[in-house]
Amino acid sequence: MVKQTLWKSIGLWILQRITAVLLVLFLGLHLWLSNFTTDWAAISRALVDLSLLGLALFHGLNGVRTIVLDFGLGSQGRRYLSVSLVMLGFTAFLFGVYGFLPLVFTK
Amino acid sequence: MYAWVIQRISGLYLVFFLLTHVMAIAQANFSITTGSMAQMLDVFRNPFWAGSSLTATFDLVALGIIAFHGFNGIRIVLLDLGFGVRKHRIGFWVTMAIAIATASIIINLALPMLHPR
Repeated sequence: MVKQTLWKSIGLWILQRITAVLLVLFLGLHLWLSNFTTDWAAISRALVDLSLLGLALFHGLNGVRTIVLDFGLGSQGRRYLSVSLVMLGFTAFLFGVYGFLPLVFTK
Repeated sequence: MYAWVIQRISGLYLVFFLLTHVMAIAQANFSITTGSMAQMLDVFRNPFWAGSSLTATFDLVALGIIAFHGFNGIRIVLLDLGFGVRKHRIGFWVTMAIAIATASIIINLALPMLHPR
Protein backbone atom coordinates (compact mmCIF):
# COMPACT_ATOMS: atom_id res chain seq x y z
CA MET A 1 0.00 0.00 0.00
CA VAL A 2 2.71 2.43 1.02
CA LYS A 3 4.88 1.30 -1.89
CA GLN A 4 2.02 1.83 -4.33
CA THR A 5 1.37 5.35 -2.99
CA LEU A 6 5.06 6.15 -3.29
CA TRP A 7 5.23 5.11 -6.96
CA LYS A 8 2.03 7.05 -7.65
CA SER A 9 3.54 10.16 -6.06
CA ILE A 10 6.76 9.81 -8.07
CA GLY A 11 4.80 9.33 -11.27
CA LEU A 12 2.68 12.42 -10.58
CA TRP A 13 5.82 14.41 -9.70
CA ILE A 14 7.43 13.51 -13.03
CA LEU A 15 4.19 14.23 -14.94
CA GLN A 16 4.00 17.60 -13.19
CA ARG A 17 7.48 18.44 -14.56
CA ILE A 18 6.72 17.17 -18.07
CA THR A 19 3.44 19.11 -18.27
CA ALA A 20 5.27 22.20 -16.93
CA VAL A 21 7.71 22.19 -19.85
CA LEU A 22 4.95 21.41 -22.39
CA LEU A 23 2.77 24.20 -20.94
CA VAL A 24 5.46 26.82 -21.58
CA LEU A 25 5.71 25.72 -25.23
CA PHE A 26 1.95 25.50 -25.79
CA LEU A 27 1.36 28.82 -24.04
CA GLY A 28 3.68 30.56 -26.49
CA LEU A 29 1.80 28.93 -29.39
CA HIS A 30 -1.55 29.82 -27.80
CA LEU A 31 -0.68 33.52 -27.41
CA TRP A 32 0.70 33.65 -30.95
CA LEU A 33 -2.22 31.87 -32.64
CA SER A 34 -4.88 33.79 -30.66
CA ASN A 35 -3.51 37.28 -31.22
CA PHE A 36 -1.23 37.40 -34.25
CA THR A 37 -3.09 35.27 -36.75
CA THR A 38 -6.47 36.09 -38.27
CA ASP A 39 -7.72 32.60 -39.05
CA TRP A 40 -9.83 32.11 -35.95
CA ALA A 41 -11.15 28.70 -36.91
CA ALA A 42 -7.84 27.14 -37.85
CA ILE A 43 -7.71 23.49 -36.89
CA SER A 44 -4.21 24.01 -35.50
CA ARG A 45 -5.66 26.53 -33.08
CA ALA A 46 -8.27 24.06 -31.92
CA LEU A 47 -5.62 21.39 -31.39
CA VAL A 48 -3.24 23.73 -29.54
CA ASP A 49 -5.92 25.30 -27.35
CA LEU A 50 -7.55 22.03 -26.35
CA SER A 51 -4.20 20.32 -25.60
CA LEU A 52 -3.24 23.40 -23.61
CA LEU A 53 -6.52 23.18 -21.69
CA GLY A 54 -5.94 19.52 -20.84
CA LEU A 55 -2.33 20.05 -19.82
CA ALA A 56 -3.15 23.15 -17.77
CA LEU A 57 -6.05 21.44 -15.98
CA PHE A 58 -3.88 18.46 -15.08
CA HIS A 59 -0.96 20.63 -13.95
CA GLY A 60 -3.15 23.08 -12.05
CA LEU A 61 -5.37 20.57 -10.27
CA ASN A 62 -2.41 18.32 -9.45
CA GLY A 63 -0.75 21.43 -8.01
CA VAL A 64 -3.83 22.09 -5.87
CA ARG A 65 -3.66 18.46 -4.71
CA THR A 66 0.02 18.87 -3.76
CA ILE A 67 -0.71 22.04 -1.79
CA VAL A 68 -3.64 20.47 0.08
CA LEU A 69 -1.65 17.29 0.87
CA ASP A 70 1.18 19.41 2.30
CA PHE A 71 -1.27 20.52 5.00
CA GLY A 72 -1.76 16.86 5.92
CA LEU A 73 -4.73 14.64 5.03
CA GLY A 74 -5.80 11.10 5.95
CA SER A 75 -6.04 8.35 3.33
CA GLN A 76 -9.84 8.70 3.16
CA GLY A 77 -9.60 12.46 2.69
CA ARG A 78 -6.92 11.92 0.06
CA ARG A 79 -9.27 9.71 -1.93
CA TYR A 80 -12.15 12.22 -1.73
CA LEU A 81 -9.77 15.02 -2.76
CA SER A 82 -8.44 13.09 -5.78
CA VAL A 83 -11.91 12.04 -6.92
CA SER A 84 -13.33 15.57 -6.66
CA LEU A 85 -10.33 17.11 -8.47
CA VAL A 86 -10.54 14.55 -11.30
CA MET A 87 -14.26 15.23 -11.62
CA LEU A 88 -13.69 18.99 -11.67
CA GLY A 89 -10.97 18.52 -14.29
CA PHE A 90 -13.14 16.43 -16.62
CA THR A 91 -16.09 18.82 -16.23
CA ALA A 92 -13.92 21.84 -17.01
CA PHE A 93 -12.35 20.08 -20.01
CA LEU A 94 -15.72 19.06 -21.46
CA PHE A 95 -17.02 22.60 -20.92
CA GLY A 96 -13.93 23.95 -22.67
CA VAL A 97 -14.50 21.64 -25.68
CA TYR A 98 -18.18 22.65 -25.72
CA GLY A 99 -17.25 26.34 -25.61
CA PHE A 100 -14.70 25.89 -28.39
CA LEU A 101 -17.09 24.19 -30.84
CA PRO A 102 -18.78 27.38 -32.23
CA LEU A 103 -15.33 28.66 -33.19
CA VAL A 104 -14.57 25.58 -35.25
CA PHE A 105 -17.95 25.18 -36.94
CA THR A 106 -18.96 28.75 -37.82
CA LYS A 107 -16.70 29.10 -40.85
CA MET B 1 11.83 29.61 0.37
CA TYR B 2 9.94 32.75 -0.67
CA ALA B 3 10.16 31.59 -4.31
CA TRP B 4 8.42 28.37 -3.20
CA VAL B 5 5.65 30.28 -1.39
CA ILE B 6 5.10 32.69 -4.29
CA GLN B 7 5.12 29.79 -6.76
CA ARG B 8 2.28 28.13 -4.85
CA ILE B 9 0.21 31.31 -4.43
CA SER B 10 0.64 32.25 -8.11
CA GLY B 11 -0.27 28.66 -9.02
CA LEU B 12 -3.54 28.93 -7.12
CA TYR B 13 -4.28 32.25 -8.83
CA LEU B 14 -3.62 30.63 -12.21
CA VAL B 15 -5.99 27.71 -11.54
CA PHE B 16 -8.68 30.29 -10.78
CA PHE B 17 -7.67 32.25 -13.89
CA LEU B 18 -7.79 29.12 -16.08
CA LEU B 19 -11.35 28.25 -15.04
CA THR B 20 -12.64 31.83 -15.45
CA HIS B 21 -10.75 32.21 -18.75
CA VAL B 22 -12.40 29.09 -20.18
CA MET B 23 -15.83 30.39 -19.15
CA ALA B 24 -15.19 33.88 -20.57
CA ILE B 25 -13.89 32.58 -23.90
CA ALA B 26 -16.75 30.08 -24.13
CA GLN B 27 -19.23 32.94 -23.67
CA ALA B 28 -17.46 34.99 -26.34
CA ASN B 29 -17.50 32.01 -28.72
CA PHE B 30 -21.20 31.37 -28.17
CA SER B 31 -21.97 34.99 -28.99
CA ILE B 32 -20.27 34.60 -32.39
CA THR B 33 -23.19 32.45 -33.48
CA THR B 34 -25.75 35.06 -32.37
CA GLY B 35 -23.79 37.89 -34.00
CA SER B 36 -23.03 39.89 -30.87
CA MET B 37 -19.28 39.19 -30.87
CA ALA B 38 -18.51 42.91 -31.16
CA GLN B 39 -20.57 43.61 -28.05
CA MET B 40 -18.69 40.89 -26.18
CA LEU B 41 -15.32 42.30 -27.23
CA ASP B 42 -16.44 45.70 -25.93
CA VAL B 43 -17.02 44.12 -22.54
CA PHE B 44 -13.54 42.55 -22.69
CA ARG B 45 -11.91 45.85 -23.61
CA ASN B 46 -13.61 47.74 -20.80
CA PRO B 47 -11.31 47.87 -17.80
CA PHE B 48 -12.34 48.59 -14.21
CA TRP B 49 -15.94 49.03 -13.17
CA ALA B 50 -17.07 51.39 -15.93
CA GLY B 51 -18.51 48.54 -17.98
CA SER B 52 -19.05 46.37 -14.94
CA SER B 53 -16.13 44.19 -16.07
CA LEU B 54 -12.70 43.59 -14.58
CA THR B 55 -11.84 41.00 -17.20
CA ALA B 56 -9.19 42.91 -19.17
CA THR B 57 -7.29 44.03 -16.07
CA PHE B 58 -7.56 40.53 -14.64
CA ASP B 59 -6.11 39.11 -17.88
CA LEU B 60 -3.20 41.58 -17.92
CA VAL B 61 -2.32 40.73 -14.30
CA ALA B 62 -2.53 37.05 -15.27
CA LEU B 63 0.01 37.58 -18.07
CA GLY B 64 2.56 38.88 -15.54
CA ILE B 65 1.84 36.09 -13.07
CA ILE B 66 2.05 33.46 -15.85
CA ALA B 67 5.49 34.81 -16.83
CA PHE B 68 6.68 34.56 -13.22
CA HIS B 69 5.19 31.10 -12.60
CA GLY B 70 6.47 29.75 -15.93
CA PHE B 71 10.05 30.96 -15.70
CA ASN B 72 10.31 30.07 -12.02
CA GLY B 73 8.94 26.64 -12.95
CA ILE B 74 11.63 26.18 -15.61
CA ARG B 75 14.20 27.19 -12.98
CA ILE B 76 12.83 24.53 -10.60
CA VAL B 77 12.93 21.85 -13.33
CA LEU B 78 16.54 22.75 -14.15
CA LEU B 79 17.50 22.70 -10.45
CA ASP B 80 15.85 19.26 -10.08
CA LEU B 81 17.90 18.03 -13.03
CA GLY B 82 21.02 19.36 -11.30
CA PHE B 83 21.78 22.41 -13.42
CA GLY B 84 23.03 25.52 -11.62
CA VAL B 85 22.52 24.23 -8.10
CA ARG B 86 25.76 25.76 -6.91
CA LYS B 87 24.87 29.22 -8.22
CA HIS B 88 21.16 29.01 -7.36
CA ARG B 89 21.04 32.49 -5.81
CA ILE B 90 22.18 34.34 -8.91
CA GLY B 91 20.01 31.95 -10.94
CA PHE B 92 16.91 33.14 -9.10
CA TRP B 93 17.59 36.80 -9.90
CA VAL B 94 18.43 36.03 -13.55
CA THR B 95 15.10 34.17 -13.75
CA MET B 96 13.28 37.14 -12.24
CA ALA B 97 14.92 39.51 -14.75
CA ILE B 98 13.87 37.27 -17.67
CA ALA B 99 10.34 36.97 -16.26
CA ILE B 100 9.95 40.74 -15.78
CA ALA B 101 11.34 41.46 -19.26
CA THR B 102 9.00 38.91 -20.91
CA ALA B 103 6.00 40.12 -18.91
CA SER B 104 6.73 43.74 -19.89
CA ILE B 105 6.92 42.88 -23.60
CA ILE B 106 3.77 40.75 -23.61
CA ILE B 107 1.72 43.15 -21.46
CA ASN B 108 2.88 46.03 -23.68
CA LEU B 109 1.62 44.11 -26.72
CA ALA B 110 -1.68 43.39 -24.96
CA LEU B 111 -2.30 46.96 -23.73
CA PRO B 112 -4.50 47.96 -26.72
CA MET B 113 -7.05 45.61 -25.14
CA LEU B 114 -7.67 48.34 -22.55
CA HIS B 115 -8.51 51.05 -25.09
CA PRO B 116 -11.93 51.22 -26.72
CA ARG B 117 -11.85 51.26 -30.51
